[in-house]
Amino acid sequence: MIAGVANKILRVNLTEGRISVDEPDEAFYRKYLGGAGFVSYFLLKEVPPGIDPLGPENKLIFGLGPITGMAMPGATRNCIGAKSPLTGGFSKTEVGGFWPMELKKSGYDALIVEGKAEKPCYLLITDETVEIRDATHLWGKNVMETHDTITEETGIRGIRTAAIGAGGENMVRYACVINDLKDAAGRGGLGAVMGSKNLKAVASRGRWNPEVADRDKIRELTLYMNRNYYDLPLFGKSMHDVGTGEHSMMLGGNNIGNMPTHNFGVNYLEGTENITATKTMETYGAGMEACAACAIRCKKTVEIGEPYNVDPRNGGPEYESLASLGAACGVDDLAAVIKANELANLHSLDSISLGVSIAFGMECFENEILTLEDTGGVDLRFGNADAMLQMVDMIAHRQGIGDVLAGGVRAAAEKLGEGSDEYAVHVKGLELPMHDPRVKQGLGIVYSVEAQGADHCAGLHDTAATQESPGLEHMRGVGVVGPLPADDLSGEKVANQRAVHLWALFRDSAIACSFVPWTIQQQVEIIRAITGWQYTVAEALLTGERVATMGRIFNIREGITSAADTLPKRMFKPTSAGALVDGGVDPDKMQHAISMFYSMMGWDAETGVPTPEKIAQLGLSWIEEEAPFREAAAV
Amino acid sequence: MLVKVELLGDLGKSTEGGDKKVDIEVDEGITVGEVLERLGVTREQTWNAAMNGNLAYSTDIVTKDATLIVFPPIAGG
Repeated sequence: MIAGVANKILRVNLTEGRISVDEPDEAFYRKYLGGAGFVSYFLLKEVPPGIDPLGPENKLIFGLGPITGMAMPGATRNCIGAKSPLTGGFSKTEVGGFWPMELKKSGYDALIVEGKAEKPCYLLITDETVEIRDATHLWGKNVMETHDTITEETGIRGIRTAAIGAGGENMVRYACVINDLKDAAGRGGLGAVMGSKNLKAVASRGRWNPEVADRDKIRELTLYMNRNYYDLPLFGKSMHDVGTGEHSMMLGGNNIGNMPTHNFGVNYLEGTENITATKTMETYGAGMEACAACAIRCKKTVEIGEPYNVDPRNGGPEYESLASLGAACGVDDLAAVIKANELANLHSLDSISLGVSIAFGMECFENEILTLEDTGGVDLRFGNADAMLQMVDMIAHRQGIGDVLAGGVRAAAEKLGEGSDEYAVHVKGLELPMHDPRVKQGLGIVYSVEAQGADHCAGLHDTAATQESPGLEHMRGVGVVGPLPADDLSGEKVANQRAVHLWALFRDSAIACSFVPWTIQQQVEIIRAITGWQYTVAEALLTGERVATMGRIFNIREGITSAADTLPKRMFKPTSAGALVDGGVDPDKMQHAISMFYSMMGWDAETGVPTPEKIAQLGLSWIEEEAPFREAAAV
Repeated sequence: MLVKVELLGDLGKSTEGGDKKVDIEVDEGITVGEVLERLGVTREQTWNAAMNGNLAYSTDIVTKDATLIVFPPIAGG
């Protein structure tokens, strides 16, 4: 028995209707830990290069970690991974809610879905049974209807689901998977992979509990966080009060060019104060909710009557949604933004890629690349809230121009031509999150190099470490130095980004919530208390480094080279208004920083290909034989 | 010289009386950090500042007739 885990990885092959269980040894758990570690391992080991991401050869991996299901803040999370239909490369994304706890309590550490079902199905996984059930009657239903129907027909009280709506069914390239009703495993289009397998939902409920090596220590740490989070850096109080997007943060961001208005072209929205989280809760708030066992309770719920009829069960918008469906589209109509966010949840669409794709469409319209005839009569101008809302439905159902925008901005620009790639704001095909790398330039390094594309959860947000502060002190435990200016791209900044990147990838393997202000030392203490291992910070960062390196190798095998490690063209230019009128990333400095990042990672400074020495140091020598990549790298 | 300071959100509670917008007289050569220290904003509060529409740092010299907007850094999703 390995403490903290079930020692069971569930495999379901939908083509053959076969259910089986792997029981890896303790060395496997210690090396890859869980979550992102499992995802990167199984993708690299089992998904051959060149396959269709929406074909039966792709695998969809739901990874839990030793922390998952513990009765402590931010502990109920899972990672999902697959080859991305949006980027064609490695993809992983994390999510909270309650479903991950129920999968763990059903007695599993991960679920690997293989093949493709002949007709729509869902999985019922409990501590007593694993069944592939017919979902013909669920196909066409939104996430809430799906959840409610499964609850009713199974008769299992408190059952939780990870499900898709129209976006996943129609294989919108940025469809996501929704845990319960409102928590999105957002990025990379993994809901489309689920749809391609005819898998509508995974429903779970369990009562099993893992052994824990030192339960008293877990209680002590939980008590500490529950008592102190409100006063801890960086944002415990505001997270509790209104969740992400608190008004002073958004107004401040607007004042330094970090509000990606008009598709990152302007970066100043006059009505920012209308679309903040604070305004959301003041105007439409129905209370704050939590993921399982979390005292921070950062999840907004909102309620709106006619004409939008927003149901509080579907949750409220996070900062990313407020900024992407709001500012990026030039919309400051809060009710419309909240409705769009609800539709994104019901249809299972990643609100970041969705907002940026609509904003791309708007910029094409403003520049006459798209006409009224193309849009089916929709006046797709920046600031038109009705048009933004119409696009959400048209994309989810692939109607008219929505079918083009459902491919994401890279594919849409390829289709539309006429220079529209200037407006396509993505890295490797993944649309940029709402943190502009012209302001947070170090984060731009991670946006550039990360295997899955631009990910705002995977690096240091430079503005949090520009001066001596508790926030900076919090990060020193992983080796962050400074303070450093936000636009600094020196070797020290690169080292800081690398350190926080590896921390994030460890955290995504453990798997812990980034909104709980644990230090890395505390996270390591948690792993020690759960597993009984003599786990250390050094070991944690090695876990993160394995994830980064395996993701990179997955991409190399797909023919994705260092040429893809670049920010969108727009990021090297100033905005037309706002704080960045004289801004823009210096391309030479950024290229130099990326090269330094490669070197610090033990990757070739020019090609970004991991060296044999690094592979050996990480204990990943099996890759050279079982997932060879050097030939692909030489092309 | 006169400097306009806008303290957003909880940072506003650092000023006497809880005002969020204040005008203060300062000597030339004063830094952003020194202005905020005078207003009771401490290092314990992680903050960013925009001076005349640009990201400013603690050691930056405050310019004549400057407007400072002070706020917590945004991160996360």
